[in-house]
Amino acid sequence: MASSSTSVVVSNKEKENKNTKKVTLKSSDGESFEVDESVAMESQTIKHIIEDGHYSSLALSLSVKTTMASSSTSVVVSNKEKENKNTKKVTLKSSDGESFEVDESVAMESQTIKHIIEDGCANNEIPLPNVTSGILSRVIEYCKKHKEAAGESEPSVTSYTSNSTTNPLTEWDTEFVKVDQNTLFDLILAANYLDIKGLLDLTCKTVADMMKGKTPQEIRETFHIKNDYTPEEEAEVRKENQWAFE
Amino acid sequence: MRTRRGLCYPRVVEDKNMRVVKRRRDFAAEQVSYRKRSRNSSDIAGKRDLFDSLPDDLVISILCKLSSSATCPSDFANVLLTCRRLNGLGLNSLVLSKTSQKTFAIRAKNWSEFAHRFLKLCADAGNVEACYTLGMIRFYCLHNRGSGASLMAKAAISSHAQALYSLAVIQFNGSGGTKNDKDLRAGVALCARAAFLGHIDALRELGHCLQDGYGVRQNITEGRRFLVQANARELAAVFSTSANPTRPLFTWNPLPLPHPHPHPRTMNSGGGGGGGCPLLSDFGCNVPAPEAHPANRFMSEWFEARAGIPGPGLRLCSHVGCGRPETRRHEFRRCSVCGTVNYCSRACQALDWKMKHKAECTPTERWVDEDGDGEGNGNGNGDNGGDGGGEDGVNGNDDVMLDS
Repeated sequence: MASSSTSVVVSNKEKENKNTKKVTLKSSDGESFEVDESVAMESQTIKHIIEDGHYSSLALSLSVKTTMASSSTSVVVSNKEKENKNTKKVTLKSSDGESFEVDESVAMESQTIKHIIEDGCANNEIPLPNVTSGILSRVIEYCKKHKEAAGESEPSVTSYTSNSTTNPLTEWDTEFVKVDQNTLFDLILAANYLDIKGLLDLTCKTVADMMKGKTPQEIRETFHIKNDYTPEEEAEVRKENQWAFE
Repeated sequence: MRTRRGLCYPRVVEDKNMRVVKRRRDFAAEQVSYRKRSRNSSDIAGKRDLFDSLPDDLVISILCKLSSSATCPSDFANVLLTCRRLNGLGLNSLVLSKTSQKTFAIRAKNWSEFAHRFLKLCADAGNVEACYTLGMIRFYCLHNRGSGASLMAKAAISSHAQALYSLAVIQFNGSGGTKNDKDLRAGVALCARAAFLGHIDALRELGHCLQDGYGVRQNITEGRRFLVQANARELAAVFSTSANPTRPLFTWNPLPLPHPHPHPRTMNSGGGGGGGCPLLSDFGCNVPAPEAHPANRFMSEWFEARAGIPGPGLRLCSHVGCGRPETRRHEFRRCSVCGTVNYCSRACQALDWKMKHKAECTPTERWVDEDGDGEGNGNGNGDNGGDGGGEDGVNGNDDVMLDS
């Protein structure tokens, strides 16, 4: 293009009220665009200029017309906005009044919360009257870990590493459920209320594994179950299931 | 029925101003009566009855996980003995439909009406393994052919590989009926479906059928391909299921092939793809025997308790992992070399060959057949090479000649 090369002056302007640094980008035909510095850093060229600290005096030859500049700026801005949207937070309030701020994407692990947000009822805090703060903090920990793990690994990789003995997420899960029984059962109730399938499956499986391999009396003792059979009933049930025992 | 009308959740002072709008569940609509939770009865020594705090559907979820991961029947049955509620919920059809194969590993000596009833409940709940296991037991042990076959068919429709293979064996042998009830084409079709699901025995059987043109148009190369695939899958199965790293997976002693004389089939077919395919054991690679299905183990034990005689003049399949009995005289075919063992299928013959029979098979002169039937063919020329001995149709002429 035969247009004259014009310098794009990048100026650094500090805003009084916010801490967000703004930079001004000037296109070849003189139109200025003021954007957040973080947004402008999406462009590596501008990033290097800013980092080099020469922005006050450096002239850069760019034949970027307004329309192109505005479209690319809007692309840059929208990319950054999307990034900002990902870190949108929601506040969850437990039954005993404690508030937890979490990323929206983490909270969306719970289908219940997801529906509340989608219904547009999540402007303030989301109250969870059936979950105490202790349990809620654990649930949030679980959701965070699983969201990270889902984000990191490629889908194809997860299928190969789904072997339970080598998957590090499985190890983390195993450590996660090493809690006292009351907490475990509360986690089941919370996972059911918040509709988090992974947590519900994990906790149910843990309880099932605790029941395996024990005699009925041992199971009763472990879970404090009351034996409500009459002696005759018990004998009858034992007879009915005698085929299962060596 | 107990549902979660809020009784199970920790009691806190509810702030009436806060209302959570939930799209999915409407608790107010659940007009189910609930059992009043009385703290006194459910506490033992001041400890909370944990299951009491869970509504029924969560307990069912837990029991589903338990039943699907149970490794023996007692794992599951122990729970039924704990209390009334767990007994009732444990027999819920959702739990029964997910019960694992190992839960049905009933010992034959423990067989009773209650065991039968349990299997029936599971089969009715849609448990495919239960359908298959009960089908096998009813067909072979209880002599209820129709019901047994229909249960196996129900499992087969749900693409249960073993059920498909068992039905194929029944079709090949005409079990439960006369010799004329054999349906070779149906057998091959069922075998093919089982083989495509990866069933190793079915792959072998299908390979042999293709090579011999038995129930299907002869295609030697295709048959050989299936036999090779069966070997490959056998090896792969060992690697994928090896749980004990200290015990060697299999032993491999590279030895020359034990029977160096030419394979009769290659002589007949004149080159081409050649006849049978050596088993892994012929290369000295001794893969451990696959674990028997609970149904097969049950049958083995059942007939062992009856001194190995399923009926007058009837024999068992000589492969001990199989356990199938004959349903009429001379149903199974025997090794054409020694004539002392008989098998329900060529797959069983191949398995038994490498486990046991290879070591003990010796050609015998048979002048008089003790059953009084004519010899199908002469002795000795049966190939005792890789594919595990010849098979001989005892009722001579009608059966397809497997060796010539």
